[in-house]
Amino acid sequence: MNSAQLLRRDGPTADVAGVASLADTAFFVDLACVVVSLVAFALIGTDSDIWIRPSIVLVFTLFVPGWTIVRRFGAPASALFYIGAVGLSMVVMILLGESLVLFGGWKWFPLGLALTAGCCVVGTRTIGRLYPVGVSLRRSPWANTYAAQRVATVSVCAVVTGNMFVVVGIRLTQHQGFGALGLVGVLSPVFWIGLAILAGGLVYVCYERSRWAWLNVAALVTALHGLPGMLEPNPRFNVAYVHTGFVEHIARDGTLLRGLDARFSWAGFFAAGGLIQRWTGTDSLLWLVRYAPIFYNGAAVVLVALLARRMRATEMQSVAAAALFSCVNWIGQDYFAPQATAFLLYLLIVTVVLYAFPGDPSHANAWVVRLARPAMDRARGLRGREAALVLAGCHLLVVALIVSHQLTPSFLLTAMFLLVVVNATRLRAFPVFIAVVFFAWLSFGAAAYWAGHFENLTGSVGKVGELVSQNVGKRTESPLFARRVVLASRIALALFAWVGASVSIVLQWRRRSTPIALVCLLVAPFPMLVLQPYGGEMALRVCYFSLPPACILITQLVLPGRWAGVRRWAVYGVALLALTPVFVTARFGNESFEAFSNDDIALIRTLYDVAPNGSTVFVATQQTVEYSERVAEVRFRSLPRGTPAEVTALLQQKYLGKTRVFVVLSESQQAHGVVSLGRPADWMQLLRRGLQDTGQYRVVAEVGVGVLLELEPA
Amino acid sequence: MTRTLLSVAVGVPIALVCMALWFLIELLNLSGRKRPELLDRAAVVTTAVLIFMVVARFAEYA
Repeated sequence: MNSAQLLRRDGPTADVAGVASLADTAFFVDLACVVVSLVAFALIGTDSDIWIRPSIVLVFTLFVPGWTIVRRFGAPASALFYIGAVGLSMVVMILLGESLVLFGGWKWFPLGLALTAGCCVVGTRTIGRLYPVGVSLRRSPWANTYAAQRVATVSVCAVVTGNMFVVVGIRLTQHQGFGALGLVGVLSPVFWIGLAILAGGLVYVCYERSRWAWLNVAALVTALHGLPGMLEPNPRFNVAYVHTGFVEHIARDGTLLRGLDARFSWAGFFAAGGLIQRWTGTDSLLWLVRYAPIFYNGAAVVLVALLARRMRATEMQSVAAAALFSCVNWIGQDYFAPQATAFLLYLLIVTVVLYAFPGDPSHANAWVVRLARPAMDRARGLRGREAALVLAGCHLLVVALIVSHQLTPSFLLTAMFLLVVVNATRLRAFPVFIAVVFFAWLSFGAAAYWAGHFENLTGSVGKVGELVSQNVGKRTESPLFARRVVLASRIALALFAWVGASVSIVLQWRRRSTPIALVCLLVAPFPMLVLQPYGGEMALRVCYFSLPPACILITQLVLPGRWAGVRRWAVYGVALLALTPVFVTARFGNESFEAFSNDDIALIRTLYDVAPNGSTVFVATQQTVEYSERVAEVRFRSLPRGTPAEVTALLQQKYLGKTRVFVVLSESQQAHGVVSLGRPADWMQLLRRGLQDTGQYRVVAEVGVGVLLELEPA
Repeated sequence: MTRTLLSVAVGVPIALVCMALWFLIELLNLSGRKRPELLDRAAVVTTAVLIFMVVARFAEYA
């Protein structure tokens, strides 16, 4: 597995001490895992209220179980196994959480003690086995040269200076009330200077072929994807609140509400979240929501880099591909959600399969070789016991993926099928296994979702016109110019990725060295476009899953060969700088209604304070905080169509008497109606006045432009 | 009777056996050892039964 390590240096400055230094630091990681396990055991066991408990338990759940497993079976301390440990830990949490909620009576406390104790004991024995006579940390001789110190200094200075400008820029930016252009219309120029410094530092350090470039990538990911978390007063995006509400319900009640929402039929992510909430001793996981994009994008860029290395990229090309991914990942599916977790698991499975079980596409079927002209691949991968263990791990990853998300298994199935067809992997039965688990879960585990709604699942199959309309048409229309700029920026980034990747493929095909595995991963998501609109979001998912191979292909196009010259790196740097404002426009163009002001949050808190269990809350649009607490007890619905008098009469007839009825009109709904739905600027005020003119409502609370009304009997 | 045969209690064990068989097949493929014919037949049969159950459940409950 040596090729898996992002350690091997390229060029004249290469040395092997880097390998040894990372292997030595593995001892400290092993030791830290044992200590974290012990501390987590104590914190969970005593139900301590100490401020550090959430952080310690979070680190434990996201890393320690997976690292304990891989080190128990003697895995080396390589970049692939570090990220693999994160993935395996997620798998452990998902499978344990799902099992507890389905069969285990939600005994989260004994499980927490058992898991932490088990990791502590196994980790201690592993340390004893791997380091019987201790360890010494050898210092890399390369680190002492003047050139190395200069590059390291530039890297650190660029990161520190860039971050200072970014932070000052954020402080100088307004924190609420964004316009139709979203964040790009309000960000201080100081922020952009900070981004330029980060990007410039990254390009210079990459050109000098220093591993310090990873520090610059980390800073770039944080500045871009952590921007709303650092800027806005509250966690953003209504669906993230829904997910924390689902997690809170499972944590508190230990049951699934399959009748309420389809996502409870694929509850692995939420069950894992429930365990984390219980073990951290917090009332909800809202504190994670703000920082989730940094985690998901940080892990994704590591996997993109590993995948690039497997596709024969140099270390700096892999860094460049990772940085490019962070600048074009506008899709916004990296929030606290099953999709983001499933995406990481998908990337991890594909990367591990290509590393551990490679095939040679040049020995595929004759017509595939003639048509595709694949590059030769002589990688050996794993054999023997290690291969069996990694294979078992991949199968577990698949099971965890399938019980957590409806859609991603389809992408994985297609990708693996294509990889098998072109002989990019030695595996043969893996796609069959994925299909078996997927359909078995769909049929037996998710019956609550499709029973009585089968038409929703299959009704759009083959209806290309309808699918295009839902995925593209309805998402690119708007009467506002600023809104059309945001939508155009998204299409531009998607086209940039696909056109750039296509050009790269054509050029490599002409040279008879097509990276066929990347081509398979690029095209694999597209068949889903003709099967399911997924509420108009399938195109977004297709774009998301095709981005990693697209970024690697574009990097191979812009920075070809092993030693790219200064001009190539300059072109790359200019492209990165040009992409960042487009990215911010595309990614944060919805911020006027996806961000929640203090008034929005105050209104919803008041709602939950006054609304008893069994209440029904009506909203004008769903861009508001819903289902963040008491998921089973307080239901949200959209206001029916009609005049205020008609709506009021309908609500009184259908709901009053059985439930208390509230209407919430908030600032985020107001912005959504204007920016996204093209309503007049005063639409919400007119609606509120119309409702109150019926004389059937009392005002429970008013916060800013938002209002909470309660419907009274006629 | 139909619903009993198509129930989770019957289907899930069949699915688990099917999964285990395909995992074993992959393991033997990677090791380069010859696969017993019985293994292949068992995998095909359990997969066919599972497909039948899945389709029948969709028809029965959808």
